Amino acid sequence: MHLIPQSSAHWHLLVSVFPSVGLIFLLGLYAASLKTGNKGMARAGLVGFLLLGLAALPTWASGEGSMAVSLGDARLSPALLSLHRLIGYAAVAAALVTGAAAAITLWRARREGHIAGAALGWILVLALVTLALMAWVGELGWEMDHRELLIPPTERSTAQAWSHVHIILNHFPTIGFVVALGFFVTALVTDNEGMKRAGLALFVICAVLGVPTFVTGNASMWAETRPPVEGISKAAINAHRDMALLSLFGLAFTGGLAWIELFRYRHLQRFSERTLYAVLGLALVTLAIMAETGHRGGQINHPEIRVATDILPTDPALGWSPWIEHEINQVVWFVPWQTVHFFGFALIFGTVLLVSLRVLGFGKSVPFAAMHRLMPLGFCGVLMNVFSGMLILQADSGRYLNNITFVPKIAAIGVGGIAVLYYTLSERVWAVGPGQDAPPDAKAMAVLILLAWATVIMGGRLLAYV
Amino acid sequence: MGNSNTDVMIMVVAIVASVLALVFLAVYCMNRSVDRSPH
Repeated sequence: MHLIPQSSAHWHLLVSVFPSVGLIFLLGLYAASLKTGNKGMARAGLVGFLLLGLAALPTWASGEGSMAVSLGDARLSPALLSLHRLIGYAAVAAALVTGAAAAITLWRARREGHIAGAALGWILVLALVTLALMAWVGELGWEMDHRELLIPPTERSTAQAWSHVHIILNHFPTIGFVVALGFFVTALVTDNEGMKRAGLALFVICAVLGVPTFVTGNASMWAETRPPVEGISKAAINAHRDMALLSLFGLAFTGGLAWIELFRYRHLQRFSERTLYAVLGLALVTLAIMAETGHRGGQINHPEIRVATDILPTDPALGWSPWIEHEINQVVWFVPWQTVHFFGFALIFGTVLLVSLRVLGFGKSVPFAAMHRLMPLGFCGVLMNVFSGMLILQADSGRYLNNITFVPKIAAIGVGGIAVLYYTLSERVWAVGPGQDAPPDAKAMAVLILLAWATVIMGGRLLAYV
Repeated sequence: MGNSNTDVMIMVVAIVASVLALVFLAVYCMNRSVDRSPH
């Protein structure tokens, strides 16, 4: 592989996801700073908008640089290309305006000693407009460069919709990690507790998003190989998914340790510096693994970024993934991991049921903080099931993924996994003491969490029967 | 596939017991680490 992109097209693929996908995560952190009134975090958000505005420049330049090659590429539609370019100009202009507004606000805050509240609100609006344009131009880019998405579902064993979702979703854990790392390092340097919590929460969210990314990747593999698509090799896909498996482990370790530290902070009201730096170390290693995974993924269907020194694998039987597929199909391995998966469900649902019931008003004599001590059981259940679930999926992924109940199951894992963070982050629910009623928004979250995890169980159980 | 029912049962008990032992050790450690908490 080559670490440094050798062409404008390669640079464009790499840089363009920062002002688009990166902006989603930055907006989340910025909105959290406005809600919690954390000035340091708002300032970091403004710096982030400025950096993403600046990142729009190389995105534009690399896009222009690859235009000559793109116009000569028979795979690309000239009409789609010119629309992508036109909306791209608007998106870059919006990113620059947002970045400039953030820079002016930072400069005025430095001069006047405080950040103007109205300016923060306007920047939020500008960033949302930029995001809408970035989403539009990004979607056009993906559609333009991935002609295989147009193959009708009737000609595929697995729908290309999975590939479409995967090529968008795979950027979320990767770019999200870069944003989380930037925030987390700033939090460590400035010793801002709210930002440390936000950074840790973002590592957990990226880890949860790693699950649908991995699953949609498996589905894309079948969509691209049954029957084969010209120019796409199963061996290159296997090399990518071997590394994706490592990424999933890296995400689980980083997100897992980040969650443990959030849990400990909730009870002790202080962080362990050692654990924070351990999360940082794990996050850096995971980011490196995800970068290699992304590079191998890009090699699958972007012939324009390949150089002469890139040697693509040719034997589809090589690697860990085919070996895992074979071994997990033996009953002596499948049944034990499936049993572990059921124990994991029991731990997750048992925990969220008890904690949610308290929030909904059952057992009011127990303070919420006491119920929260059960959360590590559910957390371990999630870890057990991510590991066992990914193993079980490999046994017959082509069949599972085409089952009608699989999509709601995986979507509900994302919703349930992220929503349950509320119990560890919310100050209002934490303050619910003995005999007290939880606020209505906490009750709404409890219902959402219960419904999400019930959907996961029902979706999974029905896999075998519908 | 060359595996008897006994093989499968032994593997189920061995793997589930190992995983649960690790889980309860982790939960015990996490709870011990917050025992100084007022909650």
